[in-house]
This record gives sequence, structure tokens and C-alpha cells, in this order.
Amino acid sequence: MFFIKRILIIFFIFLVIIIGDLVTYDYVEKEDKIKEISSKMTSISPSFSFASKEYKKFVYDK
Amino acid sequence: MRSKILIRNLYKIYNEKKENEFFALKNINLNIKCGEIVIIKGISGSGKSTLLSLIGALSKPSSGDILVNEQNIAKLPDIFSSQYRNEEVGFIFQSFNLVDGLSVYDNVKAPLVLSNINQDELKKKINLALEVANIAHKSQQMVSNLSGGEKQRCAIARALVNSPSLILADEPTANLDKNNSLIFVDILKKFKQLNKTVVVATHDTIFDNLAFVDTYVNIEDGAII
Amino acid sequence: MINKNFVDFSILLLLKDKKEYLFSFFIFTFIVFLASSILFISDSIKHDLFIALDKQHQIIVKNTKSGRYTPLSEEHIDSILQISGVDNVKGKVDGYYYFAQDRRYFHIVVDESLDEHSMIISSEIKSILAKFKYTTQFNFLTQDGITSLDIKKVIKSNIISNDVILVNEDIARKILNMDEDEYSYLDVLVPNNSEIDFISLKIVDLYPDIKVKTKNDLKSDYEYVFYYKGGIFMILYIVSMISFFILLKNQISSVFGEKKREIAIFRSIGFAIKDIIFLKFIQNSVVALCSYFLGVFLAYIFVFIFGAPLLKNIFLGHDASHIIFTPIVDVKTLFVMFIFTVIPFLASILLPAWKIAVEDMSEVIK
Ligand SMILES: Nc1ncnc2c1ncn2[C@@H]1O[C@H](COP(=O)(O)OP(=O)(O)O)[C@@H](O)[C@H]1O
Ligand SMILES: [Mg+2]
Repeated sequence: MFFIKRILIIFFIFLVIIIGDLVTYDYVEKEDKIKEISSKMTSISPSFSFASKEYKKFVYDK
Repeated sequence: MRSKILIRNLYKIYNEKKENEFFALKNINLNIKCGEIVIIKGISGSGKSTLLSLIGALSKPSSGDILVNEQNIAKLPDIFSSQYRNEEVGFIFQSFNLVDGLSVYDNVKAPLVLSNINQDELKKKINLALEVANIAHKSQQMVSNLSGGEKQRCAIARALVNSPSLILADEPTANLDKNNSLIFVDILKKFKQLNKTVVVATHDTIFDNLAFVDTYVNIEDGAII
Repeated sequence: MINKNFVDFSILLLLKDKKEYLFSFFIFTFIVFLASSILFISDSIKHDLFIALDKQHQIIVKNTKSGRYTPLSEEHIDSILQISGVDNVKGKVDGYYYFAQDRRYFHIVVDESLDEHSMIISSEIKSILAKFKYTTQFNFLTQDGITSLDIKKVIKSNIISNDVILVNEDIARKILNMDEDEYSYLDVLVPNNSEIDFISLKIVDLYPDIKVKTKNDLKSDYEYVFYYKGGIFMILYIVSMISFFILLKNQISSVFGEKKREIAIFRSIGFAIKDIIFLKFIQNSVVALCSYFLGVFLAYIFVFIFGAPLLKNIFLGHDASHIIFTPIVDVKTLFVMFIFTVIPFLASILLPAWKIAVEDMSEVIK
């Protein structure tokens, strides 16, 4: 039982850290920022595809 | 007196119906009464351990009956034979069979963890058994650090902890020096006072001609003579 | 009925043999850690993307020529406006500028509030430019020479703003080398949602080369991106699970081999087969649950507190250091993962435990 209690205490500390992080995170601010920039864009392409092979997709054929 | 163990037409055949078929016990009949001390004597390979393991429900006979407290344990399903071993029988093995890596106290505790008794009662039972087996002073030691005699006293404490009515000892003195063997003989007397039924399988002459022993049984090639 | 003495004793034995369990514990923790890190990252990116999608127009129209995107003209706008059900069509300028010095593309987005001399950049771009000593301004190389813009503001990098430079529309045309009447995309405003699919078909009817994307198409595109990314990791995960079980099996056979005698001892003092199985169940549940929760907790801290170094690059490319993952915890997927890790783990232990428990106990008598 002592062992289980010790583990529960460690997990409790983890939970406190995680819940603390979740609660203090400013979702509204982040959401506003994303919405602000996305309202200016026509077509959203997530930045990560920007590093992919699909570069040529954005190159205009003149 | 009421009979504690009644054995009728008992056979144990190893590798039955195979080429190397072996009759370890042949037509054993035995009546052991409550509170008796019985010594089973015989040379190595005569079938003593086999007989004890059948009485202790560690294995099943090929045919025949073993009645303990008028109940046939020969054909009990696992759950009941385990319960029988736990509550009715205390084993003392030649090689002690302690769990390495645990303390004396925890080894003695092992048979009790199956029942849901409270902590105080648990401690009381363990300490009493340690007292009787004269090993209380080493209770926190790891069993791997004990001497042979101490290991056996730990095994005795474990055998006694659930207050079984039947004690089975297989070659209890085989791994002990003369001094510790004599101590074991004394403990046998203690068992007698506690009114336990005891069956000892041995080829050690130290058990010969003891006044408090009720019966000597001689076994040879799997048969009583 | 759970017997407290029995649980205590099982854990006592577990601690006695902790060296033998340590291996499975670490591997298991690592697998759960990896799997939940991947889950956390992809859930977080998905979450941000779907928020971004919220502000998108219903239909986006792009032109293609020989399989590549080409600009659209005023003519397209006029004819699409003729389709009944279409409320408005807006031409947008949007494209990619190749920054040759660093071999990367910047996403040029129009912001009407800016003047001819300034731009807004993301913090990621700021640090890229800083590497080339552009700290207050940047010179775009265009067809008509150099266009210099001052950095007016730096916005936080997030999943869509990471590679963005916001400029005035005229400047955007200049940088992207587009004429006055050329547009990268058209936003088509359809007030009635049920008409969207029909109108998309109409547009394609008019111009077979045009590619039409509805909001729903985009949504499934994003899902697909993560399906594909998740797929790779799913395979990795399955491979590591399989190798884990192979290792586990080896370990079990060796450990249980040594433990055979111990199990026989317990059987001889009255443990039934079911007690042995329950004992192993308790021990391995403790190991599996500890691993599982430790893995999930560490993954959270790794991804959302430390920003998932190493893994982040796999998902977001090599310049994502400024993106912060939005902490999203999807309990449902974590639960599914629980089912697929802990349960097989327990099953793989309990079977051999049962096999040894039913063996005869004659060993103890020797
Ligand atoms: N599992 C087994 N399989 C086959 N033969 C066995 C087995 N166990 C014991 N025997 C044989 O049964 C005989 C009796 O063994 P045992 O009861 O251990 O004798 P003892 O304890 O008197 O020395 C021996 O000859 C032994 O070889
Ligand atoms: Mg023997």
C-alpha cells in the first residue's frame, strides 16, 4: 500500500502540473490570432505543407 | 479415537500407460488417528515423498481414496484442494522451499494473505508462529541470509501460521547438522503437545525408537511392509 | 472481493522482482509516450486548423493550366457572378515568394490596412530574416527591381501564420509578379449552404480547368493530411508494439522459467490456480497502469510544455521552432490507446502465468 500511495502521489503531482498548464493556457488569445490571420487568407495551407515536396504546387505557370 | 487420515487401496503410477510406466505406490492402506505422530521410513526412492504429496493434495493418486477428516481429497477440484492445503496442512520440505528475496516475516505471512483477516490478527498469528518455531529474533532477516537450521525454523513457522491440524514433513533433517536435527526432534514433541497430527517421511536413524512416536511405517518399493 | 492482504503481498513480490519488470516497464512507457505524443501533436494541429477554417469562405476557386495553378482574371469573376445563387465574388492575391538565400518560400498574404512601405511578419520569418541581417527591413527581388519594405510588426507564429508576410495588395502583386487584373484565388460567397455543391459544379462546367474547393473539401483535406501523417506513425507504433511483444514473450519464458519453482511453492501453501493468475494480474496491472499513465503524462509535458523537440520537425518541417502547440487532450483517443496497449499487455502475461500455474507441483517435494 505504501508503494501504491507513493505512486499515486507522483501521478498527482504530474496531474497538477498538467491541469495547471491546461488552465493557464490562453485559448481565446490563440484562437483570435488564428482567426485574424485566416480571415485574411483565401486558402489556408498549413505551414507544414510548405516544407514538403508540394512546393511546385504554388509556383505559377506564366 | 477418530481417524484423521484413512488411506484405502492407494496407487500412484507415474507415466501411466507409457513405456516408462512406474508404480511409485502400490496398494497402500493406512489409518492415522488424530494427534498421532507417524514416521514413514524407507530408503531413498521407496515412495515416501510421493505418499506425502498425495496426503497433502500436491498431486492426485492414480486410484484409491485418501480420506482426511472423513472427506475424500483424492478427487477435489483445484479450488478446494488449494483451500485444503492452505487451511488443513502445514508442509515442511526437505529443501525448505522459502521464497528468496523476502524476509522471514513475509515468508511466514504468505499462507495468510489468502484470507481477508485484519492487520492486528495477521500480526498476532505470524508472531505466535515465529515464537513457537523459535525464529522471532530473525523475523526481519532475508531468508537467503539464514543458516540451514534457521531456514527450517522459518519453514516450520510458515507451516504453523494458519494453525493446521496436519503437519507433513519430508526428510526434515536431510539438510541439517546433528544439533539442528535434535532440535527438530524436540519440535516434534511440541507438535504432539499442540495435538497436531504429524507425518514425517525420513530415512534418518535419529527418528528411531522415539517414545512419543505413535506409529512407524516401513515402506519399500512403494508398498508398506 | 478484493483482498487487501493479497494485493499488498502481490506488490511486495513485484518489488522483490522489480529488476525483471523494469525492462517491460521502460519499453511500455516509451511506446505509450511516443504514441500519445503523436496523438497530442496531431490533435493540436488539427484543432488549430479547424479554427482557421471557421473564417474561410464557402467556395474557393483556383485556375489551372496543364496541371499547374495559374492566375484568374476579371473575366472569371464576371461569369461566376452570373450564376444564380452567387452573392459576391472577390478576387484575392495570395502566393509564395521564393527567398533564394535561404531556399524557402514565404507566404505572401494581403492586408489592406498596410501602406506601401511596410509589412507584418511572423516571428519565424523574423528570425529567418535576422540570420541574413534583415532586422528592420527586407528587400524583395521583383521583376522591376528591388522592393524594400519595413518590418512594422511581428505576429506570433502559429500553424498558419508561421510562414506569412502580410503586405498591401499592390505590393503583393509586385512581389508575386501579377498584373492588375490577375487574381490567385476567387472567394465565392454563397448565402445558401445547400446550394454550395450545385454552384461548384456549375463553375467547373463553365471552366473545366478550374479547381473548386468547398469548405468541406478543405476539412477532409486536413483530415487526410493527418491520416497520412498518422498512418506512418501508426505503422511505426504497430511495429514497435510487435517487437515489444516478441521481446516480452522472450522475457516471459525466461522469467517464468526461473519463477516456476516460486509458483510451485505458492501453490503448495494453498494458492489456487486462480490466485496465481490474480497475483500476476495485479502485478502486471500495476506495471501496465504505471507505464501507461507515466507515458501519457510525460508525453503531455514533452509536447505542450517543452514543445516536442525532434518530433515537431517531423510534423511541421524544419522551421517550426516558433510554433507553440495548443494543448488539446482528447480523452477518447487516449482511452482507445489504453484499450490497445494495456489489454494486450495483460493478456500476454496472463496466459503463460496460467500455463505454469496448472503444471504439477511435484518440484517442491524434491
Ligand atoms: N514425476 C515423476 N515421474 C516419474 N517417476 C517419479 C516421479 N517422481 C518420483 N518418481 C519415482 O518414484 C519413486 C519414488 O520417489 P519418491 O517418492 O521421491 O521416493 P523417496 O521420497 O522415498 O525417496 C522413485 O523411484 C522416483 O524415481
Ligand atoms: Mg523424498
